Amino acid sequence: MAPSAGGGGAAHASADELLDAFAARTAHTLGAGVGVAGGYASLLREQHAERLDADGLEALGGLEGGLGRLRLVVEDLLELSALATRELSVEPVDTAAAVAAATVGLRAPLRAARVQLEVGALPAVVGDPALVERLFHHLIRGAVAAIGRGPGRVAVTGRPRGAGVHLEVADDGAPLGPEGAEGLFAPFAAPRGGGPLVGAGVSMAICRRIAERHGGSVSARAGERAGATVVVVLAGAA
Amino acid sequence: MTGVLVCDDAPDMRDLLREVLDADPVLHVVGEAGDGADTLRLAEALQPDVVLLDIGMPGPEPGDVVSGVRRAAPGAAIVVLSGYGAEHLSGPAAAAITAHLPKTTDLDALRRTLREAGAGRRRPA
Repeated sequence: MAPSAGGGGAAHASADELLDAFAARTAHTLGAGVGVAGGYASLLREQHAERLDADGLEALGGLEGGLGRLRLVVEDLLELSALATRELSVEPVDTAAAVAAATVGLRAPLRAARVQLEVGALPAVVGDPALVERLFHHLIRGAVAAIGRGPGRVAVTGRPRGAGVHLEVADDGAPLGPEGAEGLFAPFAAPRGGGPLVGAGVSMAICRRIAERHGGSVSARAGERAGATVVVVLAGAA
Repeated sequence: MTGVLVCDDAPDMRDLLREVLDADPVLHVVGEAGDGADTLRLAEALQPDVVLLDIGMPGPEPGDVVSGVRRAAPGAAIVVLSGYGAEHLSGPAAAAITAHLPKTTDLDALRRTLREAGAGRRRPA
């Protein structure tokens, strides 16, 4: 197994190309509107907040919250559409450091949902460090979304297996949907859980793309008592 | 002061950027362009410190606009602010820009990036 410059395979290349074009166009159009609205909301906060009463501040907070959700949708779509053509910079990756970096932007939702994040000993992998970090960001984000209001538990573990490394992200949140494990990785699949972390509903599709760009794979299975476990196989670092 | 040429085909985005940048103690808008051709013309005429560039505007291809700005205003830093990702720029064009920000970037990050670009510093990757 080795990181590949190719896409996700000839069988769904055409569908992926169409999806990428749709995602890029939607992100561009939606992003322009969200950018303007978000900019004016920031100006309102910066320059006029002191003249707002409590109801006005609450309304501004609601506006900012909604724009934050839309921003996540746009950024998800941009990320998905860029993955097929992005050049990989492949090197040994400290997987534990990638997980730590991936959780930086998730501290607030982890805290809000009272999620206990457990990270075991993780073997190093070979890959693009930035993409491996994004892989774990989306895996953990999906797990927290599945946990919902919480509390819950997310465990990140890994072990060498042959020339590869099996990395698992397990949660005790919502179960797999009726589409089962394979359906989880389809773009715009019904997400497990809900709330602002769902974004555009392409987090698991992004994980699949990242794994496949590295010559690896993703799969999922139902958790023992609840939730699900996502398994990623990547090349191990010697 | 850092003079910024704002290039975006959406008038409401240009209005927002002018309001935001002109309120900053370091940044000020020296001109506005609504398409690629105007961008090249104004970059040469105004010699801004920073060209804030949308790569989805009508006119020449994004890569041609970037290389044209580089020739027209060799001293200007080019900061892309666009709903399109970096994959829409070829290697040479991508190498010519100082930073690439999504349209959803918050104002603090935008101002910080423009100040650093104006001061000749590259934004950390």
